[in-house]
Amino acid sequence: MFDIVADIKKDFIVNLLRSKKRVDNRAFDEYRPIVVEPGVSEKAEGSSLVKIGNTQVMVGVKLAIGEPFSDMPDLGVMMTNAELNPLASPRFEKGPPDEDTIELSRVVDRVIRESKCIELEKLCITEGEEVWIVFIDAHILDYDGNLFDATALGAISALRNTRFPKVEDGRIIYSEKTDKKLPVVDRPVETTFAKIGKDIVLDPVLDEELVLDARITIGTNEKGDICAMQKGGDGTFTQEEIIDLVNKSREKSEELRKLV
Amino acid sequence: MTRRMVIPGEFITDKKYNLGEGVYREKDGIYSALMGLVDEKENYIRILPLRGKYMPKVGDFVIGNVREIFFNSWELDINSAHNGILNADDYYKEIDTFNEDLLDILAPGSSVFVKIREITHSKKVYVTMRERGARVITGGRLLKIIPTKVPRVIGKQRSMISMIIKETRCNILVGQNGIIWIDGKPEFVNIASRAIRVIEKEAHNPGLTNRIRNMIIKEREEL
Repeated sequence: MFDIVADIKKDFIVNLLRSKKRVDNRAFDEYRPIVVEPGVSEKAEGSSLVKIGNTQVMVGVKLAIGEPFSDMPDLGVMMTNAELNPLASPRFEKGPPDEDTIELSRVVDRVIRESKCIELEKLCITEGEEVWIVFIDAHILDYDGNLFDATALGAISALRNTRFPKVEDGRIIYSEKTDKKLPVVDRPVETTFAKIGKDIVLDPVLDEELVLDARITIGTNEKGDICAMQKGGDGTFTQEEIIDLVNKSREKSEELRKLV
Repeated sequence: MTRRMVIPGEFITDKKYNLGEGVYREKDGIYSALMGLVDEKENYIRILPLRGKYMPKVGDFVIGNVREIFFNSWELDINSAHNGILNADDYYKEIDTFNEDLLDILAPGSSVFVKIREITHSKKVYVTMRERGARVITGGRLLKIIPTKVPRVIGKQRSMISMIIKETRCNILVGQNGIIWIDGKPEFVNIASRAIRVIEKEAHNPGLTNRIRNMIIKEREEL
């Protein structure tokens, strides 16, 4: 995803930020309107559609029975995958996942896994032989910046909406769902900040993402503990900036958490 | 007169017409290939698409953004499926390509207002700056609109665009590829870009020029 941005466009965004304004007239620490619709897909065990402004992400959760990892015989397995659909943006190509796709799925995986929001020990059926495997699949439907927050929000919303399918003689009947919910005990979310010049903004739109110097994604759980972090871009953050952003992130995460 | 709206594959008419853009002929009549409004003239028929990417046409002025540099040419992003090529010979003044580096003249990220000179069979789009009005663009602000709405932004005999230029005292260049450049006082640039967004949204409504003029005058008074 290599793009050359017109100098005029970059200068315009940077100058605008210097006069404390943004391209879409938002405050520096304000999200675009967020819509979360859980349960959009009937075929998946859990699903959610998240819109942050014009960015749109659909996340589905599938459950399957399989073998556990040999070093964790009594724990369920969780896997995250992201798909940057070519329909979402001219910048996305089909084919094997590129680094941005892998980064997105790993950062979302990290916040879900490290917050321990899924009680994996409850997903064990017989130790060392059979456990439930949770697949989290994120599909990017429309790209206008800030995929991390949208996908992480979609993932936790879909997980909370997941119900186990019916099992008969060790075989799963996907067409019938039971009332038993996936054991999800926390609501971790991610917030992304972009640094453009000397200014730091929350929830960058595509135009801002194209010209950013550095970005940082901070994932926190309900208690406010940091459970994931990812920095991107060529630029740098100072120590004070990061501490400040972590505090801001905690504050903003509460807003996101109300939606799931 | 309201025009009929059609979707791709929809039957339009069995009358004999010359085919314009966005239509094709089958045994029993003429069908639409695009989503848009039917434009029936005396002897020919075409579709005015509602949306779409820009298809380069010889003679169009477009705004391009330099994305790559070769030994004696630049490759431009012209907001289309095809890239524009600006040969060093087509730059507005002589360049000695053996001694001068094209990077020093136009670096990646620079914007230019150019005319499409030639399109080859293999869809190579050659553009030129040796034309009245063509220039290198610096400063100001770029706006991207849906390319099919460009004629409405310009208006009949440039009525709309010259009105906006007059009322906002901005410099405006409209590329046929849907990229618009505005330069002037920041407040006026904001007014002009808001006006263009309104035109893009309400392109099909009649009497737009006067409404936009009133809107600009009103916003100007509020400053």
